[in-house]
Amino acid sequence: MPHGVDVIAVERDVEDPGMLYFLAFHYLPLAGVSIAFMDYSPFLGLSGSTWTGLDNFAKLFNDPEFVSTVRNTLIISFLQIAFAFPAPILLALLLNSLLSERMKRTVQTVVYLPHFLSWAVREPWPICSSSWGSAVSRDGERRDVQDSADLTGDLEGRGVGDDHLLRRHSPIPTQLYESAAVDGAGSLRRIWHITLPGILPVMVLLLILKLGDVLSVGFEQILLQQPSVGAEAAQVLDTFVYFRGVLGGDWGIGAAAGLLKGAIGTLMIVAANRMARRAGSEGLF
Amino acid sequence: MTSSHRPAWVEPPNRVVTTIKGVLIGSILLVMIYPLAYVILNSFASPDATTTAGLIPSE
Repeated sequence: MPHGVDVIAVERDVEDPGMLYFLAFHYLPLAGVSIAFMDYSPFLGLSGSTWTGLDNFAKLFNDPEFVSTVRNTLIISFLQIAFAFPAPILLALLLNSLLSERMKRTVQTVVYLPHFLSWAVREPWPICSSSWGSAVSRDGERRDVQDSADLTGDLEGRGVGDDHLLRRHSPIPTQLYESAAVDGAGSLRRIWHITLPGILPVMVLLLILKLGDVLSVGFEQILLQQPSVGAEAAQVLDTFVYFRGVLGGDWGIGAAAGLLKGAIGTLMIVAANRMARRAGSEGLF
Repeated sequence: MTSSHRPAWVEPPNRVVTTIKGVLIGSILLVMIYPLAYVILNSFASPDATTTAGLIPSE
């Protein structure tokens, strides 16, 4: 350590902007949660609006649109977990099996490319690709947007998850593979007995984080694709909050739906973490 | 012949497995590059060509 460097002061300098960021953009806005319990008017503000208790939640649960919204959200979320979650693991295993470093780096770079494009410019592609195929029936439209959300979410998440996995994956000592090969283990057995146990903690971590976001299925993506298929097929909780709360001026119901989403996400994270710890994994906290 | 990248303890490449890996990697690259190419090519096209054309706009 260099002489005269105050490590604690340096750490504080690095941590303070991060703490300020979380305070300003994540903790202070929590005060807005109170809107869920108010007949809120932006003209009156938080102090001028009247408290209504759980009325907004009662209206929300009696709203027929809310049922289809939750159903769409859960279907898309399930598809994302079923297909998008294993994708980075399979890609990491595939890349790990490549011997050419150049090919490995090329695929990793290409997989990152979609991250440089906004959904606003990526959005026309799935719609155009479905219009190139056969005419889509009204019933088929629902599948289209859900498949599209699933696949494009898959592409979005694959690169980042893959990178996390590979970073965790690389510290597995080569000697383990070598000794397993000497003992007669083929490539599949080496994956099963060395690679998968090696990346298991990261897989659990990613699953816990994903389960916390189980009701967030991608606001921007769904909003942009919604006009082509209709709200019945593509209304999810995030877009419901936007349309009902921000555009419709029904701030209380919008905030109640948002609060409900956050509460379920928190419960899912705590439950998944507890299950992971019970199964012997380190968990998230 | 041994590849310079391949450690001595790794089995020689199997043709079937190599083909499957090649197809998988090719598909992944196609799925990633196709939308990007679509966006880049259409960003230089006229609005009419963008709505009617396929991957490569005529104008």
